[in-house]
Parts: sequence; C-alpha cells; structure tokens
Amino acid sequence: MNNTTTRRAGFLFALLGCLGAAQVQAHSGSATMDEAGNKASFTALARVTCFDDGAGPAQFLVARIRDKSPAVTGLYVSLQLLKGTRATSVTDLTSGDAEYSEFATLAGGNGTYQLIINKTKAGARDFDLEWHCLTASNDHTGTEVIVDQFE
Amino acid sequence: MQNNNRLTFACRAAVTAAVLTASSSVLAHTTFETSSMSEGVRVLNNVQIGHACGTDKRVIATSVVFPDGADSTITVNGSAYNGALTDFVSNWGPNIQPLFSRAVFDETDEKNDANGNVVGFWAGGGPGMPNHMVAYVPFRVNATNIVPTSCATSVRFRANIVDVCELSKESDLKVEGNAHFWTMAGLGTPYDADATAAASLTITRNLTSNPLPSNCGSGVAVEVVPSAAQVIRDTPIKYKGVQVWPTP
Repeated sequence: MNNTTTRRAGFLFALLGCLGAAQVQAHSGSATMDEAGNKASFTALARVTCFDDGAGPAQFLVARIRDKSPAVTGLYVSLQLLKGTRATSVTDLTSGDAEYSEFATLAGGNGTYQLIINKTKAGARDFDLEWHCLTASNDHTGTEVIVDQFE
Repeated sequence: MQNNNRLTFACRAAVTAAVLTASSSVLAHTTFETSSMSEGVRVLNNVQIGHACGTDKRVIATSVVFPDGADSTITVNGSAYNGALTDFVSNWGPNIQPLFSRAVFDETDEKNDANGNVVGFWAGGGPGMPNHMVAYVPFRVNATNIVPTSCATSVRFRANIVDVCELSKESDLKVEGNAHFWTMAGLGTPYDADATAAASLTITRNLTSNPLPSNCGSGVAVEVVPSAAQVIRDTPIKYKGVQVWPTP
C-alpha cells in the first residue's frame, strides 16, 4: 500500500474497528486528515446505512466529532449528515480538548446516509468520530459504513 | 468365491463412487449458501465449496471477488447499462465482511479497494477440504438498499470464486487438478471459466416498504459483473502483503 492508501484504509479500519462492538453501542474511530497539512479541501466522504438489526427500525443517524489537534486560529473540523433532501452539520469549536462536539442528528429513518467530514483551511487534524443509528426510542440499531473518499 | 465377492463389492463401490463424483461435479458448484436476500437486512452467509479438484486433491484455499461497483459491468433486463450502480443501489461498497473461522481453513483475510472497503476475501491454509466433502466459509452480507426512485426489482451481483487445490503459477492455473473456476467466462482474464459459473447474490426489492414508482411497470432486473481489471487486481491471494497465489 502507498501512504495514501494506507491512510484511507486507516480511516476505514478506524471506522470499522468498533463494528464488532456494535452490540454495545460503540461506533467510533480515529484518523488524520490532511497529514501533509497543505490541503484545505481535504474531505472524507462515507455512506452510513441504518437498518433494523432486530433492535427496531432506525429513526435517526447521530454523529459527533472531536478535533484532537492543537488549536490553530481559524482551523476547525466539521461533519455533515445528508439523506435525501435533508441535511445537518456540527463543528467542534474547541480543538485539542477532551470534549466532542454536540451530536448532529438527522431523522431519516432506515436507509443510506452520507457523512462528510471537512475543515476550514489547510492543516493536519487528528480527529475522533462517533456515529450511531438509533431507533425512535434511542436504542442502537443496525449501522454499517462504506468509505467513498478520504483525500 | 469369497475373493470374487470382495472384488464385486470393490467394483460396485468404485462404480458408485465414480458416479457420485461425476454427479457432484455437475451439481456441486461452489456457490453461496444464501443466494437471494431482501434489501435492507443483514444476512450471515457461507461460501459453499462442493468438492475439490479430483479424487486425490484437496481445496487448500478459496478466493472470492465481488464486483466493486466502481468499474463493474451493469446490465438491465439483459441490456448494457452505462450509468452508475448508485442509480439502483444506494450503498454497495461491496457490502461484504468475511468472518474469521478456523473450521475449514487456518487463515482468512479481506481483499480491499483503495479506500479500504472490502471487495472480496480469501481463506486458506491447513489440511484443506477433501474432494468428497463439503465446506462452508462464512461471511456476512451487510444491509443493501435499492434506490426508491429506481425501477429495480432485483440486483444480482456475480461473484468470482476460485477454489485452489495446488499453488501454481498463473500460466499453470488451468492445469487439471490445480484449481476450479467458479467465475465469469469471457472477461479476458486468467481466471475466466470456460462457461460462466460465477456465484450469484441477488438483492430483492421490498415492494412493501419500497414500492416501485408508478412509471416502472413490473420493474427491471439488474445484474452486476466485476470488470476484468478488478478480477485481475483482486483475485490473487496475498498473505501479509505478499502474493502467495498464483505463485510469482
């Protein structure tokens, strides 16, 4: 694998790393965006599938992000959720601390959502991501992910 | 007399075995245990290996490649379709996850695309499966969704499977006893079957929760086949990053 492939794979493996623990409601992972620190347009794109795994049909996809890199003026990491004609987003406004952003919540039911992570300008960003498909009663339900882009 | 009886029994047994072997060769393709599933559900599945490569051969590995959906060939009701797979399926990555098990082979691993998504898997090592047995290699098919605005009533993915009985060079793949090719024919790859024998995994539309649009009539059947480039890229087995089959 070249470095780019390794980083992409790392992003997916990070995303997938906790799928085995889905039963205990832990879908989370870590990766580094723009390692070279020179690509303001660096964007990660994934598709998250919410489905009924026996816990009930999905009502929401929720996700939040934590920028672990030291604060840089004007450099923030955001995530967006999209499904059909609806979208929402959230930004981690305090980089380098232990706190995640608020959860972004998109009520799209079962189906395929798009999850996008981007940032405001060039600069490497280590981040943690957490995402869950939830039922109307906030129980964790079927959640799968495919990575389309990490560049 | 006793010797004659023994000989007769031995002959009958041999004939019976030959007939059974011939039958199993015809009937026992390597396929998927579950070849059809509804959209939106996750299913545990198995590669079902029906036999080896001859009476004194064992299957020592299997290599499975699903169409990645990126450069795959798509047909709609048998006619070529030049659009994207996302016109019909919203989340094909492919949606495959091998499950680790040492029930048949000692090692299992994913085959990944450039983004790390699983496009297939291999399993191998250990004593291998004797010719007269059947073996299951487990994997999971993740929930797959048909695009609500499409007219697809089903999407059939053709997966190439090669059962390996001898580690051979690419030039010797087709030497009798080295491998069995449950693959597409005519792609122009070293792994092509003489006649298409690729395994099928069909995702069927849930017409209750995802009804056809009114302009679709009775809907269409979509088929997805891996490209030659993908087959050449993804069929070889790599162990810890080093290709071990076909041998260099």
